[in-house]
Amino acid sequence: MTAPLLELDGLVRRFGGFCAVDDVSLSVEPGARLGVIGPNGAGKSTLFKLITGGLKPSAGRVQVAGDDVTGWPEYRRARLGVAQTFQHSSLFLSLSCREAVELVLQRADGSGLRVRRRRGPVSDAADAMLERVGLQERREAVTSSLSHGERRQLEIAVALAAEPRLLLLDEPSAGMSPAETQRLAELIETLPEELSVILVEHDLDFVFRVVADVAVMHLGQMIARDSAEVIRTSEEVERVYLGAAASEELFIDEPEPAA
Amino acid sequence: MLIDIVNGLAIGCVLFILAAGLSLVFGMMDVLNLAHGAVYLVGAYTAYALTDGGISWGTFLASIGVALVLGMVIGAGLAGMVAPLAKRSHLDQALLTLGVGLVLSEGIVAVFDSDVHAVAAPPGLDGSVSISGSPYPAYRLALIGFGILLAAGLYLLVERTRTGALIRATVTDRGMVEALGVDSRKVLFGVFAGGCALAALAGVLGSQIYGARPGLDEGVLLLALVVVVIGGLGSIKGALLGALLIGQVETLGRAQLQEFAPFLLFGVMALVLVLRPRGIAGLQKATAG
Amino acid sequence: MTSVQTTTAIATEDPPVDRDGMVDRRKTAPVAGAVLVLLALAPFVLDPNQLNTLGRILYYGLLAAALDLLVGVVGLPSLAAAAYFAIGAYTAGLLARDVTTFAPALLLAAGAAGGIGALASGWVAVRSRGIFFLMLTLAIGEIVFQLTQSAEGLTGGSNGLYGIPAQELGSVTLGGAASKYWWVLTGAAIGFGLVWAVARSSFGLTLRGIRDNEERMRAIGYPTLRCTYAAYVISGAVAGMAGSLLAAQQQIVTPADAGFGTAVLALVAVIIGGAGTLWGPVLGAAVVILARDEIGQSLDGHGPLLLGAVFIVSVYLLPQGIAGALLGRRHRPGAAR
Repeated sequence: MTAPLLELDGLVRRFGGFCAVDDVSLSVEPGARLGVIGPNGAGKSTLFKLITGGLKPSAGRVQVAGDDVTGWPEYRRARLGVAQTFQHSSLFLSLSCREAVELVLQRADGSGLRVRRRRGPVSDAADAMLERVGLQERREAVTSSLSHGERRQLEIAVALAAEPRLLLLDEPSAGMSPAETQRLAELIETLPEELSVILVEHDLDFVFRVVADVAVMHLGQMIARDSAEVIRTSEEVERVYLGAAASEELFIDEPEPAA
Repeated sequence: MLIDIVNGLAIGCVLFILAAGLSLVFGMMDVLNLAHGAVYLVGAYTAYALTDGGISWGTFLASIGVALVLGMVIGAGLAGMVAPLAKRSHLDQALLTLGVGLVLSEGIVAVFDSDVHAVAAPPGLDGSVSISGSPYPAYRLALIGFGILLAAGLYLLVERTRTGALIRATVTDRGMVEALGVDSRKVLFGVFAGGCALAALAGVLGSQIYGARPGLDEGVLLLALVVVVIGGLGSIKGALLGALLIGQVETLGRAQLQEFAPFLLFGVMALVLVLRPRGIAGLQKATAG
Repeated sequence: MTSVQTTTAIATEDPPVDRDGMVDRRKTAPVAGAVLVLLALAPFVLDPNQLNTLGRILYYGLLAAALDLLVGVVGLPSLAAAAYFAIGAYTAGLLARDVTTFAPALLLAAGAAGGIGALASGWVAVRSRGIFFLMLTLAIGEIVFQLTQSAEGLTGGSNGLYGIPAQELGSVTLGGAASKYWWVLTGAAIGFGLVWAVARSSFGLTLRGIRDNEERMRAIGYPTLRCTYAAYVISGAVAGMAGSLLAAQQQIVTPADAGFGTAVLALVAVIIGGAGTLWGPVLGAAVVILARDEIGQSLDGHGPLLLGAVFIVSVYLLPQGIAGALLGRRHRPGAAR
């Protein structure tokens, strides 16, 4: 059993009197594929930010690869290998796709300051990354001219370019067409094995297609963490989503094939 | 020292009247109306022009009336000029208002002259009242009284009426207001016109203190900007608190801390910005500007 | 949100045009060379007064370019540029009077002074954004302005620092109109080249990334505060260099050089010229100076009136600034702030 890549220890986050994350502990190994689901207001986004460093916890500890990063600002955690995508596409609207990826690459190899930009290794590496996500045709296109799905692809490229150890995806399939979702699922399947992926999602079909484990949040607490199959058939989870008097099935037994 | 404090209150009132409109326009549209000082100047020169022949209650009130009308017209004009720039950067909008301000203030100097002019107080208020043994202009006391009334009136308007609620809502979340079916452009025009009317009024009322002269617009604009930023954008209450504070800084502060006098104004502003970036009473915006 | 553009928007035959209208390197060098040659020939064509004006355009243009690094590239509109400009000018003036008149040394010293000034005052400002940043830089500018008036022993107070000796380059004294102008041209070219190099480097890309999405840059791992601080200091240093050129040409420095008017002039030059392009603001400075000082003189001293009209017209007719108009349809502007 390898050492966990990410360890959350009794994490708590309060906003005034409201407790968004309530004593959450979680352990994620290298190479994990974990989905985090839960109804609205369950605290998924807050938990996400506590891991990336966007928010500081009110109590508890965050450890990445053995380092206690609880007090670390976002950019420091990023350097440790934590990458994220944003729920609302968060990109550089006036930069081209190539430039956006170059930004990540130049930081990663330490040349973030003052080195002249060339058409050289950095540019080639950027091209390779864009090709991986399927954006090679659009490498010079300005981000503001990309379609929604293309922007999502670019988000993933930007996140992967840093060769992270932990990748956090915040509702990556939101707003995507079935074809785009299919492409995204395939992309996630081709991610490096050693990379740990945590997916916060609303689209339950998508989640169950791409992850092995699922954690369920409800009212700030993590009420279940198990393999996908177990969660899918769990009555407790069904109750959490639909309320006690649920009569329909929450999870369809077979995921719908993509159109 | 009491005299300084009272002076500070008088200046504070003028500043409040000037800054209230600026703060609302700023809070509502993120537009920095750099013409605001020039509108003040319009009011000051109106007072000079109409009372030069002889000061009386007739000419005094007439100058107030004319100034208010001119202010509204200029404000509406500015709102119209800024409207097509809604999607452009704030800098572009600021450049536009700066240009209008320059044209206005230079135009005034071209029409009148570049001398310094004083304006007398209306009869009945041109005497002095004794404060701690020294004579003090009665006009300024009346000004303070008027300022209190106006502040109360504006407060009631903004906090207690539907119009005020509409204004406050538009400042906080313009998109939401539009989604509710309100033409926020009308609100904008109204606030711009009203705000500039207030600026012109400040020019008339302050003319007994500051007179009417070239360059006054720049000085007054800087003061108003400081007041607005300290008080918090989009807040009448903030404009009042900021104006009172700056009024004291400009009088009491300068008198007590003479070596630091020129640095006080912006030093205070820098301090407030660092400690409380939103300003004393700054409003939270629901969406980013 | 822009609609999806087809791939015809991407220049496939033409060399790629960077955002901010910074034209591809293959075209830049010859154009820059031609411009420099033309400017160098000016003393053979213009009279001393005109040379003086052109010199003023050059160092105000450098100031505007330095400011554009903050305004256009990082996205931080600042009103403190005049403060560092004046610090550089006073430094050059004082050193010329008391220590040395060697022009390159004064250029360097002024740059260092501007940079140090920016270092000392910028750490507070860069922690804020938007209007708050603008107002803090306004405060810095006003405080420096007041300092130039009150530190009479050092700066000569409100009369200014006059009687500054002419600078020299070894055996050549920069006393005549032509020699002064050539030095100003040289200094401006060096300063501009510096800013250009920064903007074109990977650091420049970093700054544009911060302009577009600072939060995302932090998520990628950039210490954005340090980066903006560094840009602020660089901008201040180049502004200081421009100040030494003012001292070289005018041989007098006054508090007005640190004042609100100068700060606004620089910012306006950037906006009119086209923020983010660096060379646009130089043209913007030309417009402002010509409108205010040259043509304005003939209007009975009502230069500001014409200036105001120019502002209004340019906002409507030149939405992308002069640079944007010159680059035409190939210009894709930086994200508006």
